[in-house]
Parts: sequence; C-alpha cells; structure tokens
Amino acid sequence: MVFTTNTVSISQGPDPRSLIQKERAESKFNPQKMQYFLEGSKERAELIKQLLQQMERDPILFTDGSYYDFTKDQLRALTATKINRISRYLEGDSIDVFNRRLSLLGVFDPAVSTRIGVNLGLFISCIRGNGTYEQLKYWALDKETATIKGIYGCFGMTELAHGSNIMGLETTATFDKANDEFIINTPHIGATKWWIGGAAHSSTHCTVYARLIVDEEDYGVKTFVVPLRDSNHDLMPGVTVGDIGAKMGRDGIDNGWIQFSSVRIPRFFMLQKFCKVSRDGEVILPPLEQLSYSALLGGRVMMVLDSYRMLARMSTIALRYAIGRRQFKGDNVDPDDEEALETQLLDYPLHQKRLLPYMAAAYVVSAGALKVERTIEETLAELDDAVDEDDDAGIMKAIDAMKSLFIDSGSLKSTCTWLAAESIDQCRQACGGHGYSAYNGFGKAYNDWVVQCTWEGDNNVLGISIGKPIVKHVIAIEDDGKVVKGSSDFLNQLKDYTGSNGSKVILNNASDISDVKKIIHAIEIAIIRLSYEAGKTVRKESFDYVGAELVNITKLKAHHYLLSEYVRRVDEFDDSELKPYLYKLAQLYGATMVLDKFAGIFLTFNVASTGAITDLAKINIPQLCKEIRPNVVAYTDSFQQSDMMINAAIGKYDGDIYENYFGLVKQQNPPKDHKAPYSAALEAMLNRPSLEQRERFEKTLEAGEILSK
Amino acid sequence: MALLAKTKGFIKPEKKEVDQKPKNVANVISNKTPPNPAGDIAKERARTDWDPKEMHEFLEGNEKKSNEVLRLYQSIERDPVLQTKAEYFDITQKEERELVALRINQMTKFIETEPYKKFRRRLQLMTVIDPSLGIRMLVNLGLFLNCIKGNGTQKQYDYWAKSKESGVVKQMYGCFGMTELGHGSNVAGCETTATFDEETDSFLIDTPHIGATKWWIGGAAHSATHTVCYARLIVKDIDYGVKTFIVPLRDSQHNLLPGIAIGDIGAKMGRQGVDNGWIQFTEVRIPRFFMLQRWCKVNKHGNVTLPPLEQLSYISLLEGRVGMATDSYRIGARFTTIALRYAVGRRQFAKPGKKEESQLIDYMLHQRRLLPYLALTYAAAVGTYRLEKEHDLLLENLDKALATNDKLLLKNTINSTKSMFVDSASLKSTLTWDAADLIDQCRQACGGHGYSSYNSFGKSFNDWVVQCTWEGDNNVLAMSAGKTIIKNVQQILNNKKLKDHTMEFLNDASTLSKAKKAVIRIKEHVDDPERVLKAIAGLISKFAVDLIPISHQTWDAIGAQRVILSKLRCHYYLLESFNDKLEQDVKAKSPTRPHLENVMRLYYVTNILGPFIGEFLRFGVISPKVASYITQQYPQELCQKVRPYVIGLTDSFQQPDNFINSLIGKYNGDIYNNYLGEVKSINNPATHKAPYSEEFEQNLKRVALDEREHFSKTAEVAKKLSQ
Repeated sequence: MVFTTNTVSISQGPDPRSLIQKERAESKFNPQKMQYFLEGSKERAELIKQLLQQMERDPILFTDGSYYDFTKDQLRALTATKINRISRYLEGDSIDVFNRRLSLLGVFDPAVSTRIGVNLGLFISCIRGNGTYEQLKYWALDKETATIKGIYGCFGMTELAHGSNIMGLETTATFDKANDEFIINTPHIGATKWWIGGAAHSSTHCTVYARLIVDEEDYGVKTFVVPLRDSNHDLMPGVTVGDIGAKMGRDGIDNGWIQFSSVRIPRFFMLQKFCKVSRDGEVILPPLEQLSYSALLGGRVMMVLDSYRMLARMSTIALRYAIGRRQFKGDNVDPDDEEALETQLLDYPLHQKRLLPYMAAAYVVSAGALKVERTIEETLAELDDAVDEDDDAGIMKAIDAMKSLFIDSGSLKSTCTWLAAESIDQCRQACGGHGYSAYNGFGKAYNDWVVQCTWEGDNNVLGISIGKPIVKHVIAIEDDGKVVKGSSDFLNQLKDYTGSNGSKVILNNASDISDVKKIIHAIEIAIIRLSYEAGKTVRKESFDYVGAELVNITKLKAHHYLLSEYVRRVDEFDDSELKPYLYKLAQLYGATMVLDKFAGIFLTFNVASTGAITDLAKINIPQLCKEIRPNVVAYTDSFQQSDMMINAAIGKYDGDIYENYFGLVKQQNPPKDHKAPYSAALEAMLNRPSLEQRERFEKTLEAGEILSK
Repeated sequence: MALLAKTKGFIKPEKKEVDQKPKNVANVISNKTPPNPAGDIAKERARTDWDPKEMHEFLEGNEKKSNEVLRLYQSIERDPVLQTKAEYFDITQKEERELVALRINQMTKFIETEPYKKFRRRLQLMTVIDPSLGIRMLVNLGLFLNCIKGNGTQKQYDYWAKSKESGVVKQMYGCFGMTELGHGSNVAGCETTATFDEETDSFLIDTPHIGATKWWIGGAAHSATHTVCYARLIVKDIDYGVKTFIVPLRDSQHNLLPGIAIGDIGAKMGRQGVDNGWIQFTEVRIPRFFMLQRWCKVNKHGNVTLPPLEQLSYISLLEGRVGMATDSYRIGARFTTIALRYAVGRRQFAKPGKKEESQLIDYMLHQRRLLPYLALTYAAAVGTYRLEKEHDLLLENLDKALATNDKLLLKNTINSTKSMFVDSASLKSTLTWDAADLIDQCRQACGGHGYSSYNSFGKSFNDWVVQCTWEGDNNVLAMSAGKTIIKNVQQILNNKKLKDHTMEFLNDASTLSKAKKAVIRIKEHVDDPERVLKAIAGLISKFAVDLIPISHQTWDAIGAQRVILSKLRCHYYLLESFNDKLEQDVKAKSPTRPHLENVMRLYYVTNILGPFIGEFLRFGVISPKVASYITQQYPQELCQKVRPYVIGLTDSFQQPDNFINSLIGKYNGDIYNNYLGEVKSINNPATHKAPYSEEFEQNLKRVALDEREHFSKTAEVAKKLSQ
C-alpha cells in the first residue's frame, strides 16, 4: 500500500500534527485571554506581541534553527551585527519599551541581550546608582552611550580572585593629589578584572570597582569610569585587555579580562553621588554603602522575568512533544487490540508528573515577576526623588523598601533561576534522544542559562544572605518579642507553632493539600520551625553552621512569595471563567514544587502528617495532573510564544514534529555531503595495510629465525 | 565638552611622578602579595596520613587493576594524539570530528598490539576525557559487534569481526541501527521492515515512512560501512517482530550503496565529535545469510524458527550499562577533584574578626554541597567494581554453559542474568543521573570560573547527559527495575524465595514489611552500616508491599514510585559493596580505615538517609525523633571529619593533570597562574580587535539620527510639510 502525500510512504507514518491540532480544538479556554493574565494586562500583552512581531520579521534580528550551527566566532560577529541593528530601534523606543524589547530578545538570543545589557544595564545603572545626575547625563546622554553610540561601556566588577565578595576587591584607585588624578592599578594577578562582558572587543569605557586609597588610607571599594579604548578603538596605554576565550555558553559575548598598570584618570571620573573626594583629598562617605549596589537589583528582577519566559518556553516544547509522540502501549491501551496505536507520552502519569509542574511554575512565577518588577520601579523612583530633594526621611524610607526588595529579589532570583535551569534539563530529558539535538533548543538554552545561577549574586551566597535575616527575625521575636513587618510578617506566629505547639500539624490529608491557602500557611510554619531550629544551632555554633538550612529557608520564602502573589492575582482576576484553570495550577505547584520537593522538611517538623504526604503522592498529584492534562495545549499556547521564540524543531505550533525536525536537519546538513571533509584519513585507516606489513615483516617467524641464528 | 571645560583641574600638570611604592618581583611584578592557593593546597596535602596508592587500590578494586590504570594514564598523557590540550576547548564541531577520527586511528595502533582487555580499559579511560571518541569507537566495537555476538552464530561473528577485521577497526566500520525517528525506547515497536523474498533468497530492507528513518545512528554520517539494522522480519506477510540484519551502507570506496540515503544529524548538545546520522533504506537487498541467526532462523523456503531464549539476545545490552556505571565513578572522581582543589585554594569573604579571607571549603555550606559527592564517588568506585566483576563472570559462565551444553549452569546463569538486569539498570540510571548532578553542582561550586570552558565542566556536562537517555532511558530503565523489585517482593511473600540472586536480602520482606518498630530509632543506630542496610531493605519491602495492590490494576500509575525503588536498590548495592570491601580488604590498622569509615557514613547519611527521609518517615522505618539529626546535625559533623583530608582523598583518585584537564584543578594548585597563563596563550591579547571590529566601530561612530533620516523629521521640515 504505497501512497503519496508530500513524500511516498509505504505505510501510515506517525501523525503528531493531528494529535496536537485535535487537542487544541478541544481546549476549554481561550489562550489569548489567558495571556492577558500572564502578562499582567491586555495592554502589556499586546505590546509584547507587537514587539515580537517586529523582531520576528526583522531580517537581522530574526533567529531560526541555523543559529544552532554557528561557531563561537560566527556568533560573536552576528551578535555585533544584531547590536548594530537594535541600536536603531533604541533610538526610537521609549526606555520602557526598549527594556521590554531587550528582555524579549533575551529569550531567543540571550547573547545579544546580555552584551547590550552590560552596557545599558550594568554600566549605565552603575553610573545611575553611584554617579551624580550630571555625571549620568554626561556619560549616558552627552556621550550617547544610551543609544549605543559614541562609547560602549562595560562593568568592571569581578576579579580573578574575587567574585561574590565585592568588598574584598583588590584593584586600587589611588588619589594623586599633585595631579588631581586617580591612579588605577591591578596590584597582582588575583586582582585582574575577570569575566568582564564586552571588555575583550567592544568596550571603550569601564566602570571599575576599585579600592579608594587617599593618603594611604583605604576607604573601601568605590566606582570609577575608566576609558579602555580611544576613539580609534585602540587600547589606552597601561590598559591590557584579553579575551577570556571559550565558555560553557553565551558564545556571542566577548567576555574579557583587564589589567590596569598605573592608569591615570581625572578625579571627576570617580562616580560621586554618595562618596566624594575633594581637590584636597578630603573624603566624604555615603550614608548607606549598600545603596551603591542598587545597580545589581535591576538585573535580579529581570532574571525572575527571564525565568518565567524560560519555564514557559521549555514546557511548551516538551509538552507539545509529549502530546505528539507515542511510545509503548501503556495501560490506557487494550492489550488485545493489535491495531491500537501506542500511548501518547503525556498519557503516562509519570510523564505528567515530570512535566506539568514546570508549566504550573511558569504561571506562578509570572505573577511574582510582575510584582517584583513593579516594586523595583516604585522603589527606585522614590529613592531618586528623595535624593534629588535631599529628603532624609524619604531616603530612609526608600532604604527600608530597598532592604525588603533585596530579600525578595534575592530569594526569587536564586530560586527561580535554579528552577528554570532544572526545567531545561528535565524537559530535555523528557524529550529523550531528540532533546539532545541542538535543533530542539535545550542544549543551548541550558548552556546559556545556567550562568544566571552564578552571576549577579551567586545563588548559594544569596540563599545564605536571605535566610540569615529571617533566622535573626525569629531569634528577635523569641528573645525580645519583636514584631516583624513586611513580607515576612508571618514569622510573628512563632509562639503559636513552636515550643509546646511544635507538633501542631497543618496538613493532615488530601483535602488539606488541595487547599492552596493551607499550603501557603504550611510553608509559613515550615519556615518558622526550620528557622527556629536553625536559630537554636546558631546560638550554640554560628550562622555558618546552618548554611544548608538557610538556603532551604530562602527557597521556601520564595515559594511563599510566588504562591501568595499568584493566588492574590487569581482572586482578583476579572475573568471568572479562567479562574478554575488558574487555580488548578496553584494547587499543582504547591503539591509538587513545594510539598513533594520539601517533603522531608514538612515531615520532620510535623507540618504535614505522614498520611498527608502519602495522600500527596497517591491522590493529590495524580488527580491534579489528570485534571490539567486535557487542556495542556491551551495552557502552553497561552504563553503566546511564536515559533521563532520557541526555536525548536519538535516544539513548533503546528505540531508536525517529525517533518519539521527532519526538514531542518536536512536543510542544515545537506545529505549530498555524504563524505566527511576528513574522509581520506578515515578511509586510509580502514584500508591500511596489515600490521605485519607496517612492521616491515620484522617480527615474523621467518625474521625471528634469521635474527636468532 | 562643556562640563569638562568648566571643571577645575582639567588642565593637566606637565610632570607625572612615577609610582614609587615598593613592589615584589617574582615571576611577575606585584604591588602586593598575590593570593597563594598553591601554598594552601600543599599545606593540606601534607596532612594526608595514608598512602594514596593504597587508597587507589581500594578504589580500583585491587593492586593489579590499580597498576594497569596508572600505566594507562601515563601512556595516554604521553601520547601526542591521545593526550588532552586546553586549546581543544576552542575547537568547532568540524574540527572536533576530525580530531576524534585521528584519535581513533591512533587507538587502532593499540588495539592491534595490546591485550584486548587492556585495550578496553584504555578505551574506558579515554571515554572520560574524550567521550566522543569513546562512543564513536564503541558503536563499532561495543554495540555493533556485541549485537553480532549476541544475535549471530559464532561463524557469523567470526566472519564479520575477524575475517572482515571490524574487531580491529579495519576494512569495515560498523554502526548500530536501532533507534528510529519515531521509536527510541520501544525497540519492539521499530518500523523498518526486512521482507523475505523467496525467489532471490534475500531480504528487502525498507524504511516505510519518515517515522521509521533510522535516527541518531552514531558513525552513520561519515564513518560506517555497515550497520546492524533492527527491522521487522516479514515472511509471507507475517510479521515476526524485530530482528537484526547486517546491511552494508558504503562500498570499499566509501561511497554510499544504491538505495541507501544517509545524512548528518547535525548540531547536538554535546558529543560533537561523533558523526551521528540518519539512514533511510529504499528496497535495499541483502542476502538471506546477512540476517543474524543465533536465535531466529529463516530457511530458504521461508520457514521461520523462533528463538528458545530470546531474552539472551538482550544480554549484549548489559555491557554498555555496566560501562556507564563505571564511567560515573571516574567522572565523579575527576570533578570532585577539580571542585575540591579549587575550594581549598580559593578564599572569599573573611569571617568576623579575621583579616585573611576564608577558604571556600571552610564554609559548612560548601562542605555540604561537595563532600556528599566525594563520598558518593568512593561508594560508586567500589560498587561499580563489583558490578564489572559480576558481569564478567556472567558472560564467562554463559559462554561456558553454551559451549559445553551444561543445562544446570545455563539455568543458574539465567537467574543471575535476571538480577544483573535489575542491578545494571538501577546502577546505570541512578549513577548517570547522580554524575550529571555532580558535574553541575561542582561547576556551581566553582562560581564564575566553573563557567569557563577551560575548566572542563561545560563540555563534560554536555557530553555526559546523553548517558541518562541512551542505551535505556533512565526513567524507562528505573521503572523496569522497580517493576521487577515489586514482582520479586510479591514472589517472596508467596513464599518463593530468591536464589542465586543479588537481592536475596529481600527474602525477609514478609517480616520487614510488617515490622511495627522503626529500624533507626536513636542516634547511635545511624552509625551502624548493617542497620542502615536493614533500614533500606525495610523501606523497599514496605514500599513494594504498599504498591502491590495498585500494580494489579496499573503499572503506569506507580511509575514515579518504581523509579524511587530503583534508586534505593542502587544505593543498597553500593553500600553493601562498600561495607563488605571495607570489612574484607582493609586491615584494622590501615591508616586508610578511619577515613574510609567516615566517608562511608557520609555517603549513606547524605545520599540515602537524607534524600529519602520523606519515604523513611512515611513508612516508619526511621523514627521522627532522629529525623533532624539525620538531615541536619549529623551530616555537618561528618563533613567536618572529612574536611581536613579532602586533598588526600581526591589525590587518591590518582588522576593526572592531563586527565583532569582543568586549569583550576591542577595538582600544583597554582589556580590563578595556571588559568590566566593558559587563557593568554590560547587567546593572544595582541589581537585586541575582533575580526568584526570594523562593523562595530562604524556603528559607534555612525552619524546622527537626524542626518540618517535625511533631516526630514526636523521641526523645520514639519513646518513646511504641514503648510
């Protein structure tokens, strides 16, 4: 039975396309409307689609499967071309629109967005955070950095021997009173600026984090604008820059290292919003040093948003594949029916359990990302206003807000970037061998992504530093009856759930677990009891002793934030038809990402009973997965990521998995090249003469006879 | 410019003073004392109070094997083609494929001259430093030939392996044509057909549709001349299921044969050096005797004889799984060595009141992140040594039984085959997963420097993770191991005890599953490995008994639980091996003993009791009173015991610099000089402009927007146009 469609087949091949289309047609809700929830509002959602349409039609910014075959050198050149192209959009966009554009670009081409991000994000944010308004205006606007013109900045913070500990950086900026200059110097190899994005080839200037030394006194780390290259793009004297070379990912970025050998800059190149050095070498220090690190906050907030989009992209690919792919005949197939087709991967309960939680996480994280994004905008605006008006009370209030933003953004950044990394890896594994093909996006996504867990605040370091104040709060509540305010105010329940109340169980059974508000409450109690226990150890030993627990506290805190905000958003969402579908995801998220993952903690501290955890595995999770399963296509379509954003042959909208994939493979690797360029060597090896011949027959019996005579 | 002009001090004084501050001159000039990681590492190395060689013998199983491994390390590090080079981290996919081809050529020099077992060990070690080379050779020597050995007659094997010399990578090169675009895990569902044509006494091999395209076939794109093709045997319109056939792909001029379409599968996450390809067969005719017919035969009249013991044909898959479990140990050794050397040499943040910053490894969290992996690697070494030995014995017995037609031996061997299927599946899946986590976590523990290619994590991770998918997807394997475990427990409850089986510890399942009292109730219980083994056995029994009723309805619904059972089985195997070897081979007074005891405890507390505490509590195997001791306090105490000796414990893996292949992980510990030095030599700072610099510079120097818009949007123009 030969039949012809696009090609000639001898028998009926697999038909993933119809499977996906059928499920799409049977969806119970409208993905467009769901998208409005995910993006916060109709306006924001439509703006995003408009920007994406512009970029997917743009001849230079457009990305497709060919992207996965580029070498490092090609990617770097392409990235530079894209930066050139996007600088033209930048000239017309408002700053908000451009930031949005950049964040979207980051999903399908992270190298471009990061390489621009070090200039417009880190470099300018650092000047904004540490420089005066005039300094910002000069470097950003007069010198046109803000439109990627004239000069190009990089962010000279980390050094070869110092990454996380910024206060310990060793580059020096010594004030030379005679010449009214600073001398920037790299005292030894350990202080070589390292990992500096854009330094190897692009940057003309660098905001250098260096120790301010005046009259032999060390005032700690401050920031200085140091020119690296002249207007001919040649290196300045005393500046040595090198390429950092091959990396795990982000090949499009020219990370470099920098050594300064007595490089002189004028005194007014120091950023002096908070710290000033006068002509006579008098130093005025900032009211609150940590304010100067606000440059990093924007990045952390952005990474939460990135995590949402990454979770969305990965779960879309893996779930479309899981619907289109059939393998084995599972329990849903009549074993006696010989004609029966194999089971769709997503009809296996284990496969549901492996993937659906990440889809739910995309939804839940989207809510947290929106909230923290809104908070930072408000907080930075308040701070700027207060500083401009010299309003001390305003500054102090903004500083308080900044502190809680540090906690929230830090716990979210670490938890969400880890979660997204895990989702890429798990979604890849769920696509079996095809997940390993570069054309399906996972490998590059993973390699590009995982640095998010390290940079701009290493996740473990953040985990410790966020967990610590929580434990301190708990100790203060116990000792001094302190009342905690802000997003950690649930800690005030301490006495109701510790000591003689330490074994009060919150989740007793399946019905408790299906109540998201109870799960949120349970997370609170788990944090309280874990912190209380950690506090006891801290009193005996030290904070260092409970590092592992602090990281867990931070993760639970992030889940608490995310889930609470998500439920709040769902509660006030005006489309009541969608609510039940949204609520299901909160239940699944709570059951899998929180209870299942932290079951040991919930059991150890009696927050959940053993019966509840048994029900969780046996009843709640399978049941929720089953309920969510029929609308999976609609749930993932709701992310509204076009094929270019997805950029995975097996994850396209039309679901024609095999044709799309095979087509791309053939396009990228024309089968007519069926001999390798090095084929001659290979053939020579196979057709080599025998060992005896290659040994000139010197070891034969015959030779042996002659030689032993 | 206005701002600059106004500022006082803008006009520079003529004279500049030279910086007079004292500097110290060593290899280069420093203004302050540079960090000294090499000193830290040397100091800690001096603490080692045992002979690393003795420890290495423990890890490798015995003195002979330890010596062989060390000689091979030496041979590889001196070989100009096989040795690693940091600059290889920069090569493109095309270059890597060529490098691997060159290395294969070099390896063939050894295959012809050294004992085959030694060669296989060499290949196993090469797999750790060049996984592409490993698999590209193994598709020929392992998969292709094992398939012929497992499914073909002895004569068929002799013909293809020896007469045609594919056993020494000569004349022909085989690939393994199993997976298809639409079928991976379900081999029995493959759709390629082999239809018998009685008239010409041949088979027609055919790819009926796109889904049946052979996919992922390692070596197919450029190297292979032949493939073992898994195809459905169709005789007189009857489908006999999937059998194996030798199908030539390329002629002796290395040109494709008619009817064969082959393509390169292109870019992959890793293993760029392997030329994976796809194959489509269009009415390809092969002689009837190209079918492998040890178990299943077709005579020239089309009469089909089916195999008596089909399961034996799958024995050939075991070798790959056993190999991957062992790979996990070596990769674990390599990356814990890198991360721990870095953690000793690197300092970050000073503790309160201290001037000097702390070594990373002195942070408890850092210990908790890394030391459990170190301990796991020790356990994996011992466990995989045992697995390798049991596998060798099995093959030996099988060959003997078949050769002498010894029915009793064959029956016993089939029994041990069954437990080998479970053991290899649960070790392969659990350990390849753990190793993937280990690489990733060790990378994260090296912070930003872990992200540099030259420190090896990225490439190794990318090359590694496919181990979790191929030759039995980890979830599929673990589920099948879990299923057998549940069935075994059920069988035991029905009073049919296991014999000649590695899971005889479950013969008490009936008692274990009914036990009311927790196995681990007080802190002291945690110190006793025998009791911990009993606790795992108890958990497996209770867990399995709990699942038996559901399994009568559906196996699919308990997939996740089956995976957990498989992991528990793996850990039982490792701990049992570790404990036995410690008791049998390590003298009471050996200086290694106290360290091994600590490492073993750390292993089971942080890799078994901790991660599965939810299950242990839920089934009442561990009493809740000791739960937080097990998850929090005790791991910390054990970490502190192991902490002082991490350099010695990793040195004991005895992997040389060339094998470790990581700039921050070298033996001398001179982290920063090694790293910067090599980065400079590979990326010459003299070329400080990018090849594409001109375009970039043009962009920065572009004319103003107004001008580029032909001044057509100015207020002036607006006025004109709006008139």
